Formats: sequence, C-alpha cells, structure tokens
Amino acid sequence: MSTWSRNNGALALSAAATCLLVGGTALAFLWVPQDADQGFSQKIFYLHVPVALTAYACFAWGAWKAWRLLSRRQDRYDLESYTAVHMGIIFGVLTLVTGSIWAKISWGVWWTWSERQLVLFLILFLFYSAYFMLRYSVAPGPARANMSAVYALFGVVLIPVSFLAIRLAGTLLHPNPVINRDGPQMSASMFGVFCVCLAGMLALAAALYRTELTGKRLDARLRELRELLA
Amino acid sequence: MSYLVDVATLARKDLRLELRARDTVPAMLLFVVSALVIFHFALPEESSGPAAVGLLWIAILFTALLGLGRAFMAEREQGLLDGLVLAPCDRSAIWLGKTLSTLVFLLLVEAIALPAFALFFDGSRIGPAAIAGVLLADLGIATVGTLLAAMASASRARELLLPLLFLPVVIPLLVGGVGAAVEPDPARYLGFLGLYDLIFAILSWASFEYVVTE
Amino acid sequence: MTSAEKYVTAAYLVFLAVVLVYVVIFATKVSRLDRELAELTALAKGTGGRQPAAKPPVRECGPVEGAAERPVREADQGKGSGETGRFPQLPGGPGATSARQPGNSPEGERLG
Repeated sequence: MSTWSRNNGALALSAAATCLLVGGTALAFLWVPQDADQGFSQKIFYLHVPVALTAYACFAWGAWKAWRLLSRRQDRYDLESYTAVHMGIIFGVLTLVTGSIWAKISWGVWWTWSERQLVLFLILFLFYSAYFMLRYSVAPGPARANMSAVYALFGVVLIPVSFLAIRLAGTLLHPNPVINRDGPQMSASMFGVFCVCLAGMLALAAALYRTELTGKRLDARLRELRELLA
Repeated sequence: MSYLVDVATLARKDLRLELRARDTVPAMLLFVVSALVIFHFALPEESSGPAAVGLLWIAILFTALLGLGRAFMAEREQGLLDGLVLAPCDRSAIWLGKTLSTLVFLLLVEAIALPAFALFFDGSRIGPAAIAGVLLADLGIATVGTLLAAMASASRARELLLPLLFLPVVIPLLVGGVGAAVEPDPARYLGFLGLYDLIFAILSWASFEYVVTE
Repeated sequence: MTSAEKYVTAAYLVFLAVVLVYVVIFATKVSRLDRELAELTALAKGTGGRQPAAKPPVRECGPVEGAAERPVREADQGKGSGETGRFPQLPGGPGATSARQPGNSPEGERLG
C-alpha cells in the first residue's frame, strides 16, 4: 500500500464521498424525473438501496479481512475485520430504518414480513449484534480474533442462505406474490443517479472505515505505550 | 482412516460419559415435553394446526440449545479441550466427534418429542416429509451448533452467548423444517435443508480448528 | 408538503443524523486520545507535569525511613540530584544534595 494512500486515503475518500453524495442527492431531488408509478416517494430509493448495498459490502469486506486473518495470521486483520463489521452494522441499522420508512410510505405500515430485504437485514442485524456480544465476552487475544473471524465468515455465507430461506418462507407465510417494490424498469437517468449515490455511499463507508480504524489503532498503541511507561 | 477412528473414539467417549452421568438427555427430554405442554396453554383455542407445528420446531430448537450448552462444558471446565487440541489428531475430528454425539442426543430426544407432539396436538401433521425435515435439520443444528458451542464455551457468559449466536443462524433451518411439515410440496424445503446442511457442515468442519487454537 | 415528501425528508434526515452522531462520537474519542497522549508524554518525561487525574495520589518520594542510619555509598552521594557526583568543584556537586530533596526532581525539566 503506497504511503500516499495510507496518509491521505481517508481524506481523499471523504472528499469523494462528499462530492458524490451531495451531487447525487441534488440530482435525485432536482434533476431526475419523478417515477410515474410511485411518485415522489420513490426518491427514497436513492438513499435506501445504496445504504443496503453498502452494508453488504462492509460485511463482505469484514469477511475478506477475516479470511486474511485466518490464512495469514497477522494481528492487524482482526482490527480491520472488526471495524468493517462495525461499519456494516451501522449501515445495516440505517437500512432497517430507511426501509421501514419506505414501507410506511408504500404500504402504510412500519414493518412488513413480505419485504424480503428488510427481513434479511433483520436477521443479519441479529447475527452481527451477536458478533459484538462474542467479542465483548471473550478476553482479547488471538483466540478472540480467530473466533470473530470464523463468525464473520459464517455471516457472509449466511447472507445468501438466509435470502433463500426468506424467499421460501415468503411462499409459506404469504401465498400471494410479494409486491414488486422496485418497479418494472429504471430509466437511464434514474440508474445513473442511483449509481452516483451508490458510489458516494461506498466512499462514505470507506472513509468512515479508515477513520475508525485509525482511531482504534491509536487507542491500541496508546494503551501499549502506557503499559510500557507505567 | 485414523481420522475416522479418532472421530469414533471421541464420539464414543461422549456417549459413554452421557450414559454414565445421564444428565443431559433426560433434562432435554423433560424440557421438550414441558415445552409442548406450555405451548398447549399458550395457543388460543382456534389456532391453526400449522401454528402448532411451528411451536414444535421452537421446542426442538430450544431443546437443542439446552443440549449444546452442555456440549463443551466438561472440556472447558476441566481443561480437557487443551489436551484434545494437543493430541495428535486433526482438530476437526474433535468437531465431528462432538457433532455425532450431539446428533445422537437430539435423535433420542426427538424420538420421544414427536410422538408426544402427535399425542398432544394433531398427529396427522407428522408425516414422512415432516420427519425427513426434522432429520435434515438435526444435521444442521448439530454441525453449526457444535461449532458455536465451542465458541461460546470460551467466553465468560457462555449460557447467555450461545442462544445469541445460535438463533440467527438456524432461522433457515426453521423455515425449511416447518415448510417441509406444513407445505403440500415439501421437496423444495427438504432440498433447501440439504443445501444448508452441506454448506454449513463444510464450513464448520473447516473452521473448527481456528476456533479452538490460537 | 405531502406526507410522502415528509417521510422521504425524514429518511434523509435520519441518515444525516446518524452520520453526525458518528462524527460526535469520534470527536469525543479523539479528544480522549489526545488527553491520554498528553498524559503519556508527561509520564515519559519522568513523572513531571501534572499527575493524571485517575491515578491514586503518588507518595512524595522523600527520604526513605531509616535512610539517615543507612550509610550511603560514595558513588551514590549525588544520586537524585541529577549530578554524577564526580565534579565536586562544580556548583550542584555532592555538597549541593543537601540543598534539595533527593528523589523529587524538578518539575519536568530533566530526566531523573
């Protein structure tokens, strides 16, 4: 990793995130044509779906770092994996909240079991909250790092399996087909704005990840220093 | 071949311990029957038959939790796990041995629980598909549960942590099991259960080593 | 504003709020790290500077009880005064130790 990237990565990412998100939101509200079917409420799509995809990306990144920990056995991957999962949970909660608001707009209820993405995120939220429980109740060390890594890997495997399960359960609980929320097609301009928002959200997650990681590393180093001096 | 011998030895050890101590399986049996009785009182009068099947599955899951909570207790408390890990066997053999013994316990308990359910509730719901679903889900519960029990036993709050780790992961099993019992076309659910078992068994088998070593 | 618009705005506001809350939490963390760093720097400079608030009060390192009776080696005469004791003609040689309390080095000026 080049030193430029290490020194200025967070700065570059947050700058990119600011431009992309502000630009994307502006485009979403001011430029892009309104959806014919859903009207103004469709605009939330430019927030909710990027947040959801970013959460998936964070969990996947966490699992990747976990894999590296298990295969390389280098300490730093534990902190990186943990931070990525932390970011994932934050974006996951955001997904649940924005999704719930979207459900309220579309169907008048704050929660519905027929909304597959929301149910999947609920399961993931439970799963990764247990990740933090696991970390808090095990003494710090290589054992905790290994267990957290294995658990993070289980998480990403669980994502598609749970999605399949929810789809199966959907026919079990609601025999009628689920309302198709995304609409039949997206026009090119809508897709373009969506991509801008998605890129911005990913850049934001990456910037937050970097700053969080730096903060955690500083904390660890200061603690080490304190032990050396005291 | 020595791998399978190790697995068999470890599984036999657990079964023999249980045979002598006779604490886990009777407790699980009593728990599952009590749970079924409670469910009868918990269900309102005109509840649907399928709802009772769902409750059966809840009973099975929580009984499994009870059993899994004790799975690694002896090993951790008496430091046996370190000895096992140092032994010249593949670490995953420990997992497989423990999974097999857990599976046996679960099957023993379900051999009583399913007839009890048929007695207390609607017996016609327990057809061959339902039983197949229970068997396949048992595999999933045992494989994943053993790994998670090993993790939880390393923590300070083991009885508290295991349900938190276990329940989100077995939601797909619940869907598959209930679907197989309730739906007119159970093949999809049974296939899904088989897929889950395959994926998570391989994952658990491969990653157990990292859970118990440093 | 229609109700749909209100909800959409609410969603974006929730997003903004979460990001800002994160900034606040991180700022708190950074200021705590800054404080810890300052404490550790002071610690590294030889227990000079202010005592860290969380630590129990440090006993003043005055002469140990019974030190008067115990003979002090010649090599240790200048100990605690910051001097080597080898240059008695310089101000602050062994004769100067009596002028200052041994062991309690001046405020953070130099390493003990």
